[in-house]
Amino acid sequence: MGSRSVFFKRMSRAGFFFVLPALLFFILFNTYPMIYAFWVSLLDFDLITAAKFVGVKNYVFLLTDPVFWRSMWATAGYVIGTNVPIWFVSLGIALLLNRQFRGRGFFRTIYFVPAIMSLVVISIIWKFMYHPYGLVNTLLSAVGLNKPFPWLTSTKLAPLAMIILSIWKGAPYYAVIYLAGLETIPREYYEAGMIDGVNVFQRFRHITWPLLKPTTLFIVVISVLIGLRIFIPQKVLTGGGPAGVTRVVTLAVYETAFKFYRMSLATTMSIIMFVFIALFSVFQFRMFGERRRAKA
Amino acid sequence: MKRIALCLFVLFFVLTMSITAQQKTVTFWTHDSPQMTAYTATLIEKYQMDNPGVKIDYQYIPLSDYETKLMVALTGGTGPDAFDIGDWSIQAYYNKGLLAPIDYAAFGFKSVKELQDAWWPSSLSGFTIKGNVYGMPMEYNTFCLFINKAHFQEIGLDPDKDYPKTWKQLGEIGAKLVKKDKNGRYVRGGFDWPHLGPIWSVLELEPIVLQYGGSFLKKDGSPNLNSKEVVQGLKTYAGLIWDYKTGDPAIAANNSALPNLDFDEGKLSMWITGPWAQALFNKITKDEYVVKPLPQVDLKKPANILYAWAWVVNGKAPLARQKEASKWLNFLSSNQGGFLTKCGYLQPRKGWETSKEYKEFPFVDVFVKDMEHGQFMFRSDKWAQLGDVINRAAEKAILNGEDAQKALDAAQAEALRL
Repeated sequence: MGSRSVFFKRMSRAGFFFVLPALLFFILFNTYPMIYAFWVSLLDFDLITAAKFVGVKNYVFLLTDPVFWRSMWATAGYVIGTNVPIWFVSLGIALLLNRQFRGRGFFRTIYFVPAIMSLVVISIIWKFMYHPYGLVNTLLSAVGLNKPFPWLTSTKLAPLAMIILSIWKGAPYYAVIYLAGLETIPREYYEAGMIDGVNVFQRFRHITWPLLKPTTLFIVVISVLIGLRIFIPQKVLTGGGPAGVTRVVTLAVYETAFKFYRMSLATTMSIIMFVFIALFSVFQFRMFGERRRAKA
Repeated sequence: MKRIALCLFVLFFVLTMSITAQQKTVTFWTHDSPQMTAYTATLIEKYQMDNPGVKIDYQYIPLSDYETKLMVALTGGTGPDAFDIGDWSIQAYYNKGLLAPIDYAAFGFKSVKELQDAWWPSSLSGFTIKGNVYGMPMEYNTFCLFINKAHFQEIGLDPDKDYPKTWKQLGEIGAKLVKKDKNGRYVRGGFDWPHLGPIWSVLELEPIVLQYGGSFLKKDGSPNLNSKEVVQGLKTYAGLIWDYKTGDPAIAANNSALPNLDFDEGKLSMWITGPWAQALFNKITKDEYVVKPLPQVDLKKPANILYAWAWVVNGKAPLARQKEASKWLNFLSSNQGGFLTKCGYLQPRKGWETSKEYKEFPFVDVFVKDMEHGQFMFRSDKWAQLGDVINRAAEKAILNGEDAQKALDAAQAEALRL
């Protein structure tokens, strides 16, 4: 017994040393900046002049600041507007690409191209496409919508423009995850269903959808987390405009820090956002846990 | 033999080290503007040849990232000894202790007064704080009206006589110059504003506000954004698009690197921009357009805006390097002719107005005349944030036709919280 205990002690010590480099890296580049960021959020700090301790003043300011809340709503609008359609579109693409047809491999590859392209490059391309006389309006005029839509300069259309771009970019990625989920469903279930005479909708409702639920939950969590941290399309296409309607929180953080040099305020925004993301993640993990328990 | 080789090596090493030690390096950053950076590079070569002990370590950075990189470098103690900034940022940089006064002795003057007197009247006022000059204008600008001659002649107007003198006339003539296709799309705008962010919005809107006798800030420096004059200014600004329909608000949002593209390509008949734009025109030639004074609200009380990019010295750099940097800036600002012909930059140092370059620069008299009733943009430590707030109000009014009073009431509420 004694020798086993020594063995495990040695093993755990060795394991600790194996983990140590990664642990140090994590502490240095992740934990420490987070703690420091929290400290900075309690200061009045502009990078250059001496910092002053102001307590929770930055939190009070932001939580009562309509400009910050507009950014929060812009983020929420983007996340909901992008992700709800993306879940259905990606599932639809996956179901289509899971069928047997000629050129399936080709289409699977083509559909995945947007997912592997740089978001900066995509944003620049879409900026041209969204020009009043760009490709999007040209296509719309071909179906009789002749009035040039000001996609990036209208407060109503600019948020929608971000959503359309993000669905186009994101749906193929999630479709691949759904495809992987579909591949794991045993064919026998479908064969049994066919023997029982179920139609295509019943097959989806009673076999595909229940067995894809873990995949769906994973996609919901990941897509929402990615959506909450969106930055590039808003920065490249509109710079947060017009009139601040696409100024999502990450962009507000960037501008507050590096345009206005209000580092403490920017850090406080990040921390408030972090709390929201953490709460959402806990909620999601609980959902996972409950479903697992229910399944068990 | 080995000893001789060793001695020669040691001698070579010592000489190299001593030359390196004697050489003074001035690190110098500017924003990227192709003509300007190329010309600056040629001046560096010349300066280094004339001053063998000095090395200018030059970097230029895309405008969109420039201030961020600059501020991060200055904060981290790795900032350049000399750099350029927009005049609107000068107060914020000064308040953070990032600027050193220009060393007038390095410019060959005995006092600040002598230095100021060697530049055009008021041209250094935007860089003078508490009696010291903190920046030397690299490009000194005002906004004037550019007119496509052929478009004017097409509607039976003489661009030299019938050009719009007031904003009302601009709206009326601009509406006549518009061309649309059968679907109602603008093929040619009569006049439009560029919507390129806070600086442009302030540059376009503030002169109109000044013409109404108002200002963005009260005398105590607090925001004054929903005052009667600012509201009138925004109404006039947006009214050109929404009332006179001189252009499509969605179209003028060009890439900021090419803000004059639509005028250059003949898609706009009238356009407001600075003297520098002429060096960037690729298609339209100087015989095909004219430049006229900025339209006014009241011709008896003319007002225009002044703005500049200026070379400044890093206040955190060692004193010796600050002195070297000032000498370098003196050299740079002594090449007015080159900056004008190569980059289209007017520099307000006296003594070159009789030069060939000055006389041959298209419409120089129009710009200089308008500068006489110009004043620098408002000054504030929070310029970037106020500019952002003003820009949002301008966008609401011009892009979405929102009521000017409503947009500015919201802007004032935001500004008061800064």
